[in-house]
Amino acid sequence: MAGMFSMTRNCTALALIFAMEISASTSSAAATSGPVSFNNQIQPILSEYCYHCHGPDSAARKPKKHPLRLDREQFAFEARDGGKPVILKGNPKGSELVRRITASDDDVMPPASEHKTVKPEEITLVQKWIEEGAKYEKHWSLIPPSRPPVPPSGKGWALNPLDHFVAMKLDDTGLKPNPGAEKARLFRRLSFDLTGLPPSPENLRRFLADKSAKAYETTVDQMLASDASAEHFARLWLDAVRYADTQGIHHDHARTIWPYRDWVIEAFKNNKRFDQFTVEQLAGDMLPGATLDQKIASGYNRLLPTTGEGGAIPEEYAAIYARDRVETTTGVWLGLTAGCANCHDHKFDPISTKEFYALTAFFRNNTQPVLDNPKSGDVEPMVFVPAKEDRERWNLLQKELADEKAAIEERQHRAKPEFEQWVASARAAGAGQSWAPENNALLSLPLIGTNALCEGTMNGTQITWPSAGEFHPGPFGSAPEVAKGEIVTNAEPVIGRKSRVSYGAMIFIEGKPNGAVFSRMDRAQKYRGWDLFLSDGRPTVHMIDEWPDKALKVTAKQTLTPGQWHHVLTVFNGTLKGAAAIRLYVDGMPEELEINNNNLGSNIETQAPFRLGGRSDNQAAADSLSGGKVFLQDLVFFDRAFGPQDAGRLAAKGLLADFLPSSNKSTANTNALFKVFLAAFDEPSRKLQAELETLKAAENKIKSRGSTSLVFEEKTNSEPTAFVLTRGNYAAKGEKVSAATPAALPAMAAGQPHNRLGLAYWLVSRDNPLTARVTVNRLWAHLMGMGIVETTGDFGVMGARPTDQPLLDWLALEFMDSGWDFRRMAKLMVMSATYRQSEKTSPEKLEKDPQNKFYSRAPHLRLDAEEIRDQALATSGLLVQKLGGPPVKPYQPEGVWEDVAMKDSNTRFYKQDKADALYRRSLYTFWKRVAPPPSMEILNAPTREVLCTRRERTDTPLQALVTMNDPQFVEAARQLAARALHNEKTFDKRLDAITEPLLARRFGTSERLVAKDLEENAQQDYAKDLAAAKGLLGVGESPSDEQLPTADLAAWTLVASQIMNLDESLTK
Amino acid sequence: MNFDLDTTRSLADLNAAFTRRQFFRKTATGLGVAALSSLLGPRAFGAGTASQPPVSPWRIAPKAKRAIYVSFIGAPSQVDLFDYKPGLKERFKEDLKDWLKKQGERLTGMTAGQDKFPLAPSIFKFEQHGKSATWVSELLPWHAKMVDDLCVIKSLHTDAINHEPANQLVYTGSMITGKASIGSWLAYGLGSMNEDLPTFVVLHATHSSPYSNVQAISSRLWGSGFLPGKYAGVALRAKGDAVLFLKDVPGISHELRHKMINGIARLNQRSFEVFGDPEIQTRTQQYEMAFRMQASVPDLTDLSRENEATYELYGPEVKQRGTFANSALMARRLVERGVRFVQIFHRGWDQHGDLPRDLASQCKDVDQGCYGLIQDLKQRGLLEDTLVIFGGEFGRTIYCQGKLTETDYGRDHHPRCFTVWMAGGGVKPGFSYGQTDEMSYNIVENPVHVRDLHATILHQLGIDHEKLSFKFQGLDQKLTGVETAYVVKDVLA
Repeated sequence: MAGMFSMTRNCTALALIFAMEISASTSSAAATSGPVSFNNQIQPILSEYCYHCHGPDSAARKPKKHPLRLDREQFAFEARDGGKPVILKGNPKGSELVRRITASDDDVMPPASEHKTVKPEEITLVQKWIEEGAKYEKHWSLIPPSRPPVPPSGKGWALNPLDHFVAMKLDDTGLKPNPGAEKARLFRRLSFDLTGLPPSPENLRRFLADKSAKAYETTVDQMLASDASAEHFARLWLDAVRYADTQGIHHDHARTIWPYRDWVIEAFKNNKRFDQFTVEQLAGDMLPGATLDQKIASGYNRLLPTTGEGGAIPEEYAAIYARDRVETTTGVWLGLTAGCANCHDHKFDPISTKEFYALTAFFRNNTQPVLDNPKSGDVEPMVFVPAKEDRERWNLLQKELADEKAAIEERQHRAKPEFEQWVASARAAGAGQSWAPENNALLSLPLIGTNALCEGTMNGTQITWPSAGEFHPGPFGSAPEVAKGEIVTNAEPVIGRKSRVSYGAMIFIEGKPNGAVFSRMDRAQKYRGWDLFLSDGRPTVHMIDEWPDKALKVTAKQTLTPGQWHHVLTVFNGTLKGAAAIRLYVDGMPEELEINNNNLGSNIETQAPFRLGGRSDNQAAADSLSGGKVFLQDLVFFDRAFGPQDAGRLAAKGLLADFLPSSNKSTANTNALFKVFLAAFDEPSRKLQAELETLKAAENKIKSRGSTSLVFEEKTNSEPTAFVLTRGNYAAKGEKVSAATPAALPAMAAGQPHNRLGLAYWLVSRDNPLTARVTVNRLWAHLMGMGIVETTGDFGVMGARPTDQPLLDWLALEFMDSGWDFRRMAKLMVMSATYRQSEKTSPEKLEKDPQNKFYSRAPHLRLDAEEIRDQALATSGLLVQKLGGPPVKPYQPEGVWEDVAMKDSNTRFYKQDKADALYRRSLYTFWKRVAPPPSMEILNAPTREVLCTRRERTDTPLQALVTMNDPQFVEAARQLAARALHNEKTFDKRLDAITEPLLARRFGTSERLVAKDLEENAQQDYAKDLAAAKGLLGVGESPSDEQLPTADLAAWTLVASQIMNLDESLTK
Repeated sequence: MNFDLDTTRSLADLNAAFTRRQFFRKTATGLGVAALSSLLGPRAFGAGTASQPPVSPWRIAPKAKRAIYVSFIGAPSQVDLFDYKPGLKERFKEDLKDWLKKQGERLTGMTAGQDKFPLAPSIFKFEQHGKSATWVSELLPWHAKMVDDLCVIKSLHTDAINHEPANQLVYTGSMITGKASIGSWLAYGLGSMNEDLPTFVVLHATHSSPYSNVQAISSRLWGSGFLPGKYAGVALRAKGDAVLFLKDVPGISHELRHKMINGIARLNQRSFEVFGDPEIQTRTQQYEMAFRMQASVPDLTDLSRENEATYELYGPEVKQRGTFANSALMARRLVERGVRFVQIFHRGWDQHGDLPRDLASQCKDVDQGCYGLIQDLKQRGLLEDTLVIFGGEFGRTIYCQGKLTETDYGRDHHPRCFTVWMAGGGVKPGFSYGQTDEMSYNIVENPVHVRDLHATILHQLGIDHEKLSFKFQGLDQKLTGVETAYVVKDVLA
């Protein structure tokens, strides 16, 4: 039994083989009556047997010397070598074409090497067609639809125009429509079709009680307006555009693009016009004054699988991405398999390779780097997306921030004269000493003079130490170089884990020095201690318990300017958590920091001496300064943590001194001093700055609640172009082409730009014969079980022919005329008598219409993966209904991700969520492309690697195992049972409480016996083995109702599970 | 509650007009058996009896009934294993930069920026083994013992230079995503040979070294692509349930499960009588099969009845779930039970640096397991109709990636030649095929493209690769694609 096990990777044309058989039989049946139709009967034959070598693909066309082309009328009747065309109108006997397909020698077409033989009934059709004049037609789907008259058929049954069309076809086939479905059953199907959820017993009761004529319509309107409906239609759309939460190739890192998913939900919730829905996704970023939402929508272009593989060749992937985008866009909107023209002219449809590459040009002119960052799936361009409740505040905040910054700038301008005055008075007062914070430093090392001995004070006591030798003019006099790890003191100053201290100095560097400026640190104790350090000239601070695992290290993003005096100050507040404990000020301004290590241990105290220009015992090369010179002056250490104002005042002292005529004046210095003046001395500036900080804090808070989202951005400095790639090979560049749409379709409107925005408008232009048809057909297929065009993703020559083109065209026109009103179309369809039929079938119907292509009954379909899981959650009361937000990770068997993931993938390990996140609707489940949620995949959900417009539905034992044993389903059965037990007392009522939510009905007598049989057996077993009962009740994280007897609940859990596994539960 | 439906009668009572009996009487007269099976559609293949597609125009006389594909993901270095290149020692560190330019070689993003391309001869010793005098590196001592069972093809080549597309090409026949994997083609083309197990089973073997450079794989390598989903490979897992959700949750005994499924069957029968959709019965059958599987899979994974001599063949790690040796033994047990195609994935073969250390540990992981598998199959008389294939997705460069020392080197990706070895299933034992130049760089004799390998595998299993096709997007899709593929007749016994 081949494939009794089934894992669906993909969403494909499930019944293609059978579709072929059936179309062949219908064409032969039709051969007996009426004129032959080129589109419906002849083209399928020509495309199946001839086009491969005599079709649109110029490279494959044969014979090489004088290629024959049969797909276009103009070529099919060209005179050949014998002076005659291969088809002689009205003369099948004389036509070479007929001779060849009927030949029994080597002349036979198709040749033996093709392994295909034209069937006798097909030959008859071709002969008849030629006899009737061999009339060619343009392919049906490329002719713009016009609104056909509504046929009169279906009187007494039809409820709206759609039914008249359906009735006419049914009359042709001799089938009768079914009577209306039983009310509750219809309601259940409607609920799944419109909301993806089962009806609640309360709603069902209300509906059944409403005897008014409008009852059904009212409920349709309510369902369509619900959030659940928006989620449901969004989920179907996400299949089509292959939405997922990881890259899909190589690392398969997570990517943040769920705001796009939420945008889609929002669009369905607001019933956004489908044309607008299209334009914003294709080119939202290019709309004038694009809003945040429109930019998020442009994330459609970022949904494709991408890679950051180390060896990947960017040009190769740029070509792959462009192809993928064209394939998806043409597949979803146009129902064309344009991707076939990637390597060769399309074998069947009028899309040449050149036209294919002209389509890729629309998508190539963008700013996205081809290869992803190897460490993250989040790659520019991105936008910040505030949480919904923050949106308004965020927009306001942006304006307030801009205003505040403008005010600060304005104040800076005005403060200039005051600053000059301030400098003058500071000069008069003598180097601004008086502005420095109270002169109570624990340690104060002026570092002035040219002596062999340096001097300073420690706790008020004089200390001395040998100098390094070299000197440089400093703000307060000659300043010594520090380089050799000179020991200044042995026991001071001390920094404890919870200390608050500030320490710093005026620093002058040459080159890009590396190493400690001063420190107390002990290599023997894994570098326990602290320092002020330079990393290639960037101020750095270490606070170390054990290096590197228990340490805090931060580095300023800016390097100090060599050849200029700077004030550098470290503030450490050990009571603050993480990297917030350290602030670094340069010239009185807080520095932006890079956090290198952020895991400080419990102890940083050390016995190592306090050294200048080195650390630890100064024996290891890494412990001393290298790479440049460092001169130092006015080193101070305070046992309190400075705020910004004190930091500024301290810096001002040195900077003012440096500003004085005795030292080197520089504009840089003046600017630094001006900043300090504004920050520490100018009250209006300080007030404005404080306000700005408040606003920034508010901004950060919103940022932490929000998310980013991947978006698309057009390059502004180049035109959309592409190269034709020979045989699809990225390295074999051919002709350069500009962005253009295929010639077989109506041209872009005059005045439309030939870029992505123009393409988007073209897709939904009134002239486009495909978009409206493809879209209504997909909706019809969703509601009726079978598309009017069965191949929902292929409206091309090889796709299925519409079973009822007038109906399809009427719907397409209605869709456009209604202003692309999606909800209106859905309502129209479900209001029809066609939709409201019962799904009962009969041998006659199975015989005449096995696939229900003529809609003489409602479909009996297995629910989609998401619907099955959501039904379990909803009926058991576990479902957490919350709209949108980041993806969630419900239960998943261990090892599924690790089995396939790379070591450094950030989706290597599955970390299951807790509480509410376990019970969200399935469209919110985190979708890892390389290993999708296994239960969903087993139930035929697509991998979201390629577009999917129609899901496969196969039955496999693996599916039975999911719904019987996946903890999510067992837990749901338990909660459903618990509800029944809690609310009802008798067996029958309890059973009703389980079947009503799942089946929208009560069991009949004999059915009750089956459930009772299981319940009694289980009850007996569990009463004897309470441990087993407890085991069953322990599945799933939600608690059990403690009041309920264990054996009862376990037995009823099994009954609920049994009913959840019925065909009737799993289908609609 | 005020349901419209009369709750005192069963659904069946309400629909006496249309019973199961009637359905079958009608179909028997009106449709005929053949039409009925096509009505059931492809699902019927999963339904038990119709184990083979009704028409198989692609079938030819088979040499093998089944196959095992051992996939070394990451691309093992051919130069350090089978493709012996003496005489390179003197050329140690020779810069190949200018020579490479003449080759027009595409370089990956990893070495394209190197200013030197120093030649790195293999540091491993090679010796000739067996009657066939096949050269084998010291890294594969167990392979050395069985060279007379192997058919070594040194002249494979591929179109892809990076792992993702290369793996897709080797395992699905195309670098483009969405195609059907080899195993799913075989399941589709040949059907199943057993009632209780999948047709195509995938095993993920663990690698032991924490240093190995591990590439990602995805289920697209064993997926069904455009073929119906039931042809996809089923992973037999080394962690948790061997088959996902196979084991009943705690507290459900075998008897209760049986009772529950019987009840489902009875209740579904009523639905069928009401709605008349034959698919309802198909669903019931899936539940019954699931129940059977719950018994057959544990029997499959229970190694306790294997004897010591068998364990010894595979080596000490064989009893440890998930190791390569364990997977190899599992592969034998699977094919023994009628599984058509088993694929073992072993990752970690991407030696861009530290090749001597990491290739050695990778080889150690698999060497004896491969030996055990072939010997075990042989001893049980299974080898002659089981085709076993070993190989990666491309080869590795003779020049060094990164720093070259006397004892250490790395190798980049190399699509122009690589080695694949096979055994059993009607291929020539003790045979080497194809030759590369003195630097294992270009093929100089008998090139074999990946699609030729595919054509050959299908041929041995009794399939004409030109005829095994599936209509998708208007094209007759084939594993071997649109370009001509050749069965490598020279390697066939």
